[in-house]
Amino acid sequence: MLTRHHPEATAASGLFNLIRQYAIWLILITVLLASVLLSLLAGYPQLSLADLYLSLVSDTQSLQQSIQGPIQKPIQQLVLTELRFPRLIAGLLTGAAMGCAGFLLQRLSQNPLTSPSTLGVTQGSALALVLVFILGIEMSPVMRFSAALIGALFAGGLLLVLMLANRQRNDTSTLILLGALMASFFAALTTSMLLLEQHAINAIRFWLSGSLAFVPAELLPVLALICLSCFALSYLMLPGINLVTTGEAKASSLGISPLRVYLVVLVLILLLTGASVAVTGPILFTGLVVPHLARLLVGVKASAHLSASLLLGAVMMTLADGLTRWVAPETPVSPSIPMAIIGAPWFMWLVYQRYRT
Amino acid sequence: MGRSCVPHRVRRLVVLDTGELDISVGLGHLPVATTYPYQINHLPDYIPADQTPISVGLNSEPDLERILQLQPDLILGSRSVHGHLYPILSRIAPTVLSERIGVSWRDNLQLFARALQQEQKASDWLTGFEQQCQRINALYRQKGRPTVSVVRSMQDHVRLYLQDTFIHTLLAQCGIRRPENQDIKGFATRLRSPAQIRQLEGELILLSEYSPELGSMIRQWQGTGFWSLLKGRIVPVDDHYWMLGIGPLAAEQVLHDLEAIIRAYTPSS
Repeated sequence: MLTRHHPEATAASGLFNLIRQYAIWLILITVLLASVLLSLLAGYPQLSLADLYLSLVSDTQSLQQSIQGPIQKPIQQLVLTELRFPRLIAGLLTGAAMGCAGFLLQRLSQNPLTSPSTLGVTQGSALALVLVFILGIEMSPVMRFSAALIGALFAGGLLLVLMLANRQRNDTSTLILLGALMASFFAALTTSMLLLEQHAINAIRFWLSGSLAFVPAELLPVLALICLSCFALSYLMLPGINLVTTGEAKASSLGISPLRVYLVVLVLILLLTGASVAVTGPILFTGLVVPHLARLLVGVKASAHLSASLLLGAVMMTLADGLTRWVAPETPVSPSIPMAIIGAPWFMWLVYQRYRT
Repeated sequence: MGRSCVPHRVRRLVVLDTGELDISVGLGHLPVATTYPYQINHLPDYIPADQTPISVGLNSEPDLERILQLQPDLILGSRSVHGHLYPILSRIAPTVLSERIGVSWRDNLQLFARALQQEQKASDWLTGFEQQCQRINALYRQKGRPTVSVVRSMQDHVRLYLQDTFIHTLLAQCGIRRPENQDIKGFATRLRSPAQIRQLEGELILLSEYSPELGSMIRQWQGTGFWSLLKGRIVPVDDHYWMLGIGPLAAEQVLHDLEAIIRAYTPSS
């Protein structure tokens, strides 16, 4: 009896798994759409679905009318086109970027405690931007991205050099510890510079806690270009990462240079981190929490794990930003706050899990 | 606060804020030392300082050791900013603190005039302002009494000045009408999003920028489509005496500007 039923049972559980997988993706996409809506409608002024619909409809109408001369747009429409859409796009892209960077780091280091912010890359990038601001150099979009990228590169490079100089270079605990040290060091430098320059602290205090409030629209094309190409390259690098992490010798024998994989992935991580920091300021913990949640939801298969990290990063960022604006429409609250409320205990729990023996 | 025995002739005066600086210079006493407003880190431009007073730090945190070294014979400040330092300050020199700053500037002028024994100069100033305000009011009536909105653009927000401000006391003395949302108790409304731009509205919008070099929020707003929603006439005004200076010297220049602004105003049909 049992033998006869066995194949059916596995088929049923296989079917169940398949449905479960689809359901998870469906839920993820639904939550993403919901947070997109929340992010568009919440804030000052609170908009209704009717406003959103009217704005989308009248946009096509105004295209036809604009030939006859400029028309006065209602304020709801201006809020959507000038404030909410740029903010939404920035949130989706930077969230996905942090998810992606966290995924790459955690896969490559095979350590769940690594992320751009726990290794100090985010803080290094922010430090460079603050430096540029204090020196009074004009913050053009190009300058903004270059400074953030150079900061990330410097922080990443310094960490790499320190690790290579270390005798226990393959010990990820050392990496985590060094990273945490660098993160506090960069954050302390940033704070001290700002204390010496009181003007700067006023001008960038919101940005420094991470904010989507002042996203200049001209940053978006560059951000999109960097993020989307890094996402695509990340997918292409997946086989390489898989091989390198299962064994460098095996990878070499298959003609894949482990060094090249490491370098390319490292550059991707730095690009993604730098680009996000340039736009939103340092928003911590996204890169740490997202890849975890993604793995819990969809499993360890690399491509599914990456896709879920991208989606979940975008969801968490827009959700955090939308929620803070829903709760306090007129006061600027950084999306970092909900992130930190979730992220900090999460990090502590992970450390506890790993080191309790 | 407490009782202070002030010297008959003050020789070494130290002031702790821009309001006190303006008042003492206006009463003919150049202080030996002053604090600087942290925002600009130098004296407001309009102060006619022949010999620049020594800096004793920022207005919110004066350098007490430096003040001690200068051996002043009178210190002027305000209770709201320097009240917690009174026990120390009064041991360095006789210290006179005004209760409040800004809105109470006329009382402060008279209080400090008593300390500096220049009561006559203070009342000359106040009579002069009354006459100037009557002139402005007559002109203002001819122009159909347009509402006047007072806006100050900071680095990360835009301020709408309300009743409890130096500027409002001057506008009120001239009988100038304020928009309803600004004719309320309080210091200022802080705006952070261009979606709130209509709150700036007034037939005349007086706009000062605290530090254009370090960033001014209104400039970001000017780049958006929201800017065209603003109907009133925008007149830029000097931040140093409209906003930083809180005393007779600043008031004199503000009223001078105000008269010119109203004279130039033509009501739109």
